Amino acid sequence: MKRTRFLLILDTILFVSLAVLIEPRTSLTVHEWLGLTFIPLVVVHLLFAWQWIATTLARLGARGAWRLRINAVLNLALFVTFVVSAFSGVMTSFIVLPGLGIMSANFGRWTLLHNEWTVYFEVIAGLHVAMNWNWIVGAVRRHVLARPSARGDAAIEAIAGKDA
Amino acid sequence: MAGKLPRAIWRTTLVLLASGLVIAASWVFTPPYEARRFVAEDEQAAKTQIATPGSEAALRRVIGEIQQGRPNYARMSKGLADALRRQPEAQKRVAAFGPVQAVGFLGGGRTGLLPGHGQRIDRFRVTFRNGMLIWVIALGQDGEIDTLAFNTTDPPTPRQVMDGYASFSAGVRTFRWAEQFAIMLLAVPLLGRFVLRLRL
Repeated sequence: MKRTRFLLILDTILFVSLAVLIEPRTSLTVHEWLGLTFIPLVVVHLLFAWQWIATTLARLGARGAWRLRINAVLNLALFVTFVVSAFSGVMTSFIVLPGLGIMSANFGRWTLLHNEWTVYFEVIAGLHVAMNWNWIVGAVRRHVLARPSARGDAAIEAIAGKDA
Repeated sequence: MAGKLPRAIWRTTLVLLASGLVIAASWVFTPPYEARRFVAEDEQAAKTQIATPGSEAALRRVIGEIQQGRPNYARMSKGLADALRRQPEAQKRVAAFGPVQAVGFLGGGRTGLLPGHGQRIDRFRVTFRNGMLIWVIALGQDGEIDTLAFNTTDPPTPRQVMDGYASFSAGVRTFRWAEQFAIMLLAVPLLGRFVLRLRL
């Protein structure tokens, strides 16, 4: 259950970070540093979801697994939009990367891409939250409210798999 | 522990490889920045829209006044008049473009995300003798110009992006944050959960 607690904290950080990355626009410096920090956190999130990814890939061809396929497509779209958003963001860095001696280039092109794909990313992230609602409720009930429920624990188990 | 680290490294490598594929695809399929093509596309798409009555005439009039160095501040909102008075350099820039040759409507919309919220704005392409500028104009209820801005079709400079990023007032910033948070991060999950019935 330490794993679930860790994931709950990590995902909360990711969720709040995403909201802060988009609005309120207080400082481009904060936006760029937070965006760069967001990238390894997503990789950690993916590593913790590896069992689900592996199980899903193995079961994609199973008969009647349409819900699984929808979820897989949604998560794939989330990954693609995240990578494009992050990469185009890096390519249009005006503060952090130039500060490290790396100059951005063609930012007219990448800025357009960044502005467009972050919207897609945000919307699909919202759907990702919807998809994992039972897990979120279960983890919050168990670790924040200390009132675990059978359905919530089942959702936690479903995602944790044998990696837990 | 001994087996976990190589496994984590291997999985991270796979994630990075997959990311590399996506990056390569986005690199290949992202068209180069061609401002004139984007403007032409916008103009074509805007053919089905109608500009706010009077907005093009008001834009032509105010550009002429600015180029002559005599903007009629009485036909602008107080905020716009104050802003324009503070920017004599911008007025000189507009004058340097020379006479207006053609104006094209690029589409309109509202500035807010919520229905009915925000201001109705129109975008125009204005071709001058010495170049092209994109203008945004919004008229108030009494026909006075409420919002007026222009930009070149060149990609923004780093300084413009940095200055523009956090240029909102505290009130606007707070509203945008609340609007964004509510719609994208609460409304969309609820839509996915209860309408699309997404489940694991």
